[in-house]
Amino acid sequence: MTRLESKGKHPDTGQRLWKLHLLKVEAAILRGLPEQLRQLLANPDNNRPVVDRLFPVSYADPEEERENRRLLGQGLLEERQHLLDLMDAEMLRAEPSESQTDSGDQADQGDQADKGDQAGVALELDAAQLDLWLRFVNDVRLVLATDLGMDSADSGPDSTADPQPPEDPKRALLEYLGGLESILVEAARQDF
Amino acid sequence: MSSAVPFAADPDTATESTTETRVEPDARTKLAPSWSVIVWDDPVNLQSYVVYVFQRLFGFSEDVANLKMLEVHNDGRSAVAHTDRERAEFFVTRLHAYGLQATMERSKDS
Repeated sequence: MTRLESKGKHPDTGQRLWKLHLLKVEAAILRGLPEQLRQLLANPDNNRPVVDRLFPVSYADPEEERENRRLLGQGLLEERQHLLDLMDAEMLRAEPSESQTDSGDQADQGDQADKGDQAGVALELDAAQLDLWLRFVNDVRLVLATDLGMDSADSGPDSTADPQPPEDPKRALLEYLGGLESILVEAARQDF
Repeated sequence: MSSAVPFAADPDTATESTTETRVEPDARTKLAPSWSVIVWDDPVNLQSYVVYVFQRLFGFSEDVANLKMLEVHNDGRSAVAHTDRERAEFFVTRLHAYGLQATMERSKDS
């Protein structure tokens, strides 16, 4: 499963370095997400609630908000698209990892029969790359939660009135990404 | 809400406090931050992620970032910066880029 391995500190910057390990199936899912978001952003009228969540209002006053969007809207969209391009490149950086146990600090990862399932990919992350991953994973979570109707104050992950069955693939992905984000943010905060 | 509380991360507020005795009242009013950046509660963003964003964007200590996050969580909103309009727009834009719900509004004392 997903884990983040400490690789010490960069000799020049002093920032911490990490190695993110992903199962092949996890990597395959993550690899497809930037393009899915790209398609979504390319068709805002068909995905209005999600797009509105990614680009919330800045002003309560409609006139001020309209002017703000006129001045900044295109730049904000391009920034989001650029983030997806960077994540495409991140996915290409991932290299095959022999097993999930190569650091020795994860003692029990299953026997040899499970090794094929445990094999995956890994990539090193510095602070800037951690930040990139965090923003991307959080964006996907916002999209999924909005799509699942979990974006209002009384319908979040803690709500008892969640209408989505637990086996819903989108919900499963949302939960997986929540776990991944928790791992990433815990690491990122160590540089503060 | 603690909208009147200045933060060290806000250079405008810091400048105001260091020049307070030298500035005439009218000019002082013009220099005062007149916009508040408000972060709103959101059921999706992880609390630890919100703390991370506050630390990264505003340079808050972990304690202050946690306090502001809890203010958002418990009160539904928190004023995280008080500054001029241009910087408030910058902060709101960055908060949006990180997926937080943020707006800006004229400070009540402006």
